[in-house]
Amino acid sequence: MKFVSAFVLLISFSLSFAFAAEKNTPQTNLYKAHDAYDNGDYQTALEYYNKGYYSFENGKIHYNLGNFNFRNGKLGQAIFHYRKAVKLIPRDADARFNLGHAKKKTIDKIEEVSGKFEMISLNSFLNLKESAYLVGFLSVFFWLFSILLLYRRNEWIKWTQRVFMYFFIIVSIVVAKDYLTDKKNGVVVDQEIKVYSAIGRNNVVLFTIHEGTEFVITNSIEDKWIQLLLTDGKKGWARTSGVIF
Amino acid sequence: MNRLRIFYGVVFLFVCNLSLANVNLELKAERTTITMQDELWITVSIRGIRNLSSYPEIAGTDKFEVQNGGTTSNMSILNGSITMTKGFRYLLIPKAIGIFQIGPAKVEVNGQVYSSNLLTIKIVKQKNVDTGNKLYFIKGEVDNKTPFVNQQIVYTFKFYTRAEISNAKWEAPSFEGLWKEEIGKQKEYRQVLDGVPWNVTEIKMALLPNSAGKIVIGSAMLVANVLTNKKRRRRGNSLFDSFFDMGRELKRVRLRTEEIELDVKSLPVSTKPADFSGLVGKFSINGSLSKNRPAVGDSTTLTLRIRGKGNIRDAKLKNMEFPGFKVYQDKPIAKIGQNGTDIVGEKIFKLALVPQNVGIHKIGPIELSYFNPESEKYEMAQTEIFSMEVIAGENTEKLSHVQGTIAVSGDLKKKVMMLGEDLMPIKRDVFDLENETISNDEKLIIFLSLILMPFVFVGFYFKRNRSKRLGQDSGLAKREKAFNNFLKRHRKIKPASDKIFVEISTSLRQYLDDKLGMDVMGLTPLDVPRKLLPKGISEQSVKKVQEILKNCEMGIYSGQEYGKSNRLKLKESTILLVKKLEKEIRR
Repeated sequence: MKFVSAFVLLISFSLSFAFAAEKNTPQTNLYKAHDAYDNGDYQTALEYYNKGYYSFENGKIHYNLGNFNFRNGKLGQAIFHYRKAVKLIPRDADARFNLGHAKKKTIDKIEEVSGKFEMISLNSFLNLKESAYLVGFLSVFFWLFSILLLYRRNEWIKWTQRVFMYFFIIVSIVVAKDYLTDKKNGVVVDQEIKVYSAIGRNNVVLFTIHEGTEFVITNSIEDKWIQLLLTDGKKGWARTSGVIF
Repeated sequence: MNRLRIFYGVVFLFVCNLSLANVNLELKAERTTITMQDELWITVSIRGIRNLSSYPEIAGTDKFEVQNGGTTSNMSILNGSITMTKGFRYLLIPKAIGIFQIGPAKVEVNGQVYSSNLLTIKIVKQKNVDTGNKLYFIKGEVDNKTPFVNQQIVYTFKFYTRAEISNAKWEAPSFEGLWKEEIGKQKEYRQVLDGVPWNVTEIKMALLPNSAGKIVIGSAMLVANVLTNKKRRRRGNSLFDSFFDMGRELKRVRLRTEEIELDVKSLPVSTKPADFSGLVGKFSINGSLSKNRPAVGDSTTLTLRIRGKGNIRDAKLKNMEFPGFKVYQDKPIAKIGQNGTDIVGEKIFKLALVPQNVGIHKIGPIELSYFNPESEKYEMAQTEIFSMEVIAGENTEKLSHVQGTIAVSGDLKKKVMMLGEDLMPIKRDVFDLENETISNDEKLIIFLSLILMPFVFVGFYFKRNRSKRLGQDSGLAKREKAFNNFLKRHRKIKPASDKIFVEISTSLRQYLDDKLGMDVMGLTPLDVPRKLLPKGISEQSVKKVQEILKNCEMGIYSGQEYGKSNRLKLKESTILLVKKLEKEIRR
C-alpha cells in the first residue's frame, strides 16, 4: 500500500513539473530568446526579453539586450544597454568590450573632456549597490572596533580600528562623489536628431547628432524636451522622441 | 638475476671498450713560469682508458728532478657515454735557468702509442722580493706595460700568505679602457721566496687595450680573515695556549695593490694596409667549398675560418667581390678559448655563393691583413685559390641561404594580426539573477548602519563611563542600585508570612540606608523627622515613613492581628512611599 501511494505521489510530482515546464515562465522566455539569438533570429530574441520578464535592473540582462539590439541593427539601443550593463557589472570585461565595439560604429566623433577628479572613482570596480554595501560594512566594522576599544585597550584592536576608520572615510568620500556626480545618461536612437538652442522647433539648430551618440541629460520639460550635454561641452535642447534615457 | 648481471657487465665492458677507441693524452702544468726555488706540479691526463700497465713517459724532463706524485682516476657519464680519465701527477724541481720544452708524454695501449701536447716552461732567476717579516701580501702585475692597441697582455694578481686565512674576498681592479677576459680558474700553489715557502693564490686575466695613450689599471683589493700569533707574553707561550689556540687571534685584513699605468702604443699608420682587418696578434685563414661542381642557380657554401691568438672577436672580412656569383653572407660565429695565457679562437664566416654562369671559376686567394705585435709589422695571411666548375642547371635559383648549420639572425617571428572583431557572446547564466540596483530596504539598512552605529557607540561610551564611576565609588553604586534592590526584596515579601512586618521594616530601612548613605537600621519612628528632613525629604513623606515603621513595630511587638487586606495595603503603601522618596531624593 505504501509503495502504491509513493508511486502515485511521484507521478503527480512529475506531472506537475511537466506542466510547469510547459508554461511560459520567465525562464522559458530566456531559453527561447537565447535559442532565437543562436539561430540568428535577433528580433524574436529581443521580443522574448522585452516581455517584461525582469522587474529589476540586472547587468547581464542589459548586456544581452545590448547584443540583441546590436545584431538587430539598433545601435543606439545597444549602446544604451551596454552602458547600463557596464554600470551594473563594472568588472565584466565583455560588457566593456562590446560597448567599445558598438561605439566604434557611431558616426559622431566627440572628444571627451574629463574632469579633475573623474579618475578618483570606484565606478570601474563596483556598482552603486556594491559601493553602498562597502561603505555600510566599513561603517559597522569601524564602530564595532571603536566599541571594542572602549573595553580593551589593545594595540591590535587600535590599529584595526584606525585602518577601518581611514578606509571608511576615504571610501565614503569617493562613493559620495560618485553618487552625487552620477548623471542621467541618454543615447540617440534615431539616425539623426537636431539639437536646438531652446525648446521649440522654430529655434536655431545648434548641431545634429547621430545614432549611438551618448549625452548627459541636464534638464527636461514635460518629458517631451530634454536639455542635453555632450562630453565635449556642447549643449542644447532636443525632442525626446529620438533618444532613449 | 645472474643473466641480468652478465648482460650489464657485457654492456659496461662494451662501453668502456668504445671509450678506449678515443684515447686522449693531455699534459698540464699549474703554471708556466717558475723560479729556481720553486716546485712545479704537472699532470698527464689520459682519457678513454681504464687500466694502464705502465706509467707514461715524459720527454724533456732532464733539466728537472722528477718525483712521482701519485695517480687519480675519474669516471664521467655524459650523454650516456662513459669516459674514464686517469691522471698521473709529477713534481718537477728545476735544475737550471732557461726555457724548456716538456713533453710529449707518451703511453702505449694495446700496441698503439699515444702522445700528448708539449709544454713550454720558463725557469727564471729569483727576483729580490722584500717580504720583510710579512705574513701576507698581494701583488698585481702585467706582463707588458707598453702594448699596442688591441694587443693582448696578461694581468696577474697574486696573494702570498704564510698564515692561515679564511673568508678571503677578492675585488678586481677597474679595467676602464680595456677589454678583459678571465684566463682559467684561480690557481693555488707554493712558491719559495728568499728561502721562505709561501702559499700563493693566483688569478690571471687577459686584457686588450681599446685605445692608444695612458690607461690606468686600478687597485685590486683583498679582504680576508688571517689567523696570526698573538704578541708573546713576558713569561713565554704556554703549552695550553697553543693547545687551545689561545695564543692566536683572528684578524680581518684589507690589502690593496698599487695602480698600474699602461702606455698603449697606436698601430703604425704609415705602413697600414688599406684592407687592414683590425686584428692584432698572430692569425691564419683557410677556407673550403661545400661543392666544387654546382649547377647554375644552385648554391655552394664558402666557409672561411680565421684562427689565431689575439682579438679574434674583432675579425671581419674585407669587402670581397665574386664576379659571376650572387653572394649571401651569414652571421659569423666566434669560438673563443685559451691556450695557456693566450686568448685563442676562431671565427667562422659562411658565404652562400650562387653561380650565374657556366664555366670554371676561380675564387681567391682571400687575404687577411693583421698586425703582429711581436714583429711590430703588418702581416698578411691568405687562403688557397678555390676552383669551381659550374655546370648548366635549371634557370631558377634554388637556394638563397648557406648550407650546413647556420645561425639564424634577426627575429623571424611574425606579429599576430587581428583579422576581425566581433561582439562577445551573450550571457547564458541569467536564470538566477538579482537586482543590481539598490532597493529601498537595502537603502534603509545601509542608512541605519551609518546613522545608528554612532549612537550605539555613544551608548556604550556612557555605559562604560558609568560602570567605571560605579566601580570607583561604592557609595554611589549603592545609591544607584538602592531602588532596584528594594524592589527585589519587596517582591519576595509574602502577605501571609508571619515575618511580613520585619521584612517590610527591614527593606524600607535598607533602602534608606543605601540611598542616603546613613545608618538607619536602628532608626526609631521618633528619630525619623530629625534624620530625614535634613536630607531634603518632604514632611509628608517623612510622616509616611514614620507611619509605616510604627505599623511595622506594632505588628512585630503588640501581637495585634492584621487581616490579609491590611497587610497587602501596608506592602503597597511601602512601595508607593519608596517610589515617592526616589523622586524626592533625586531632586
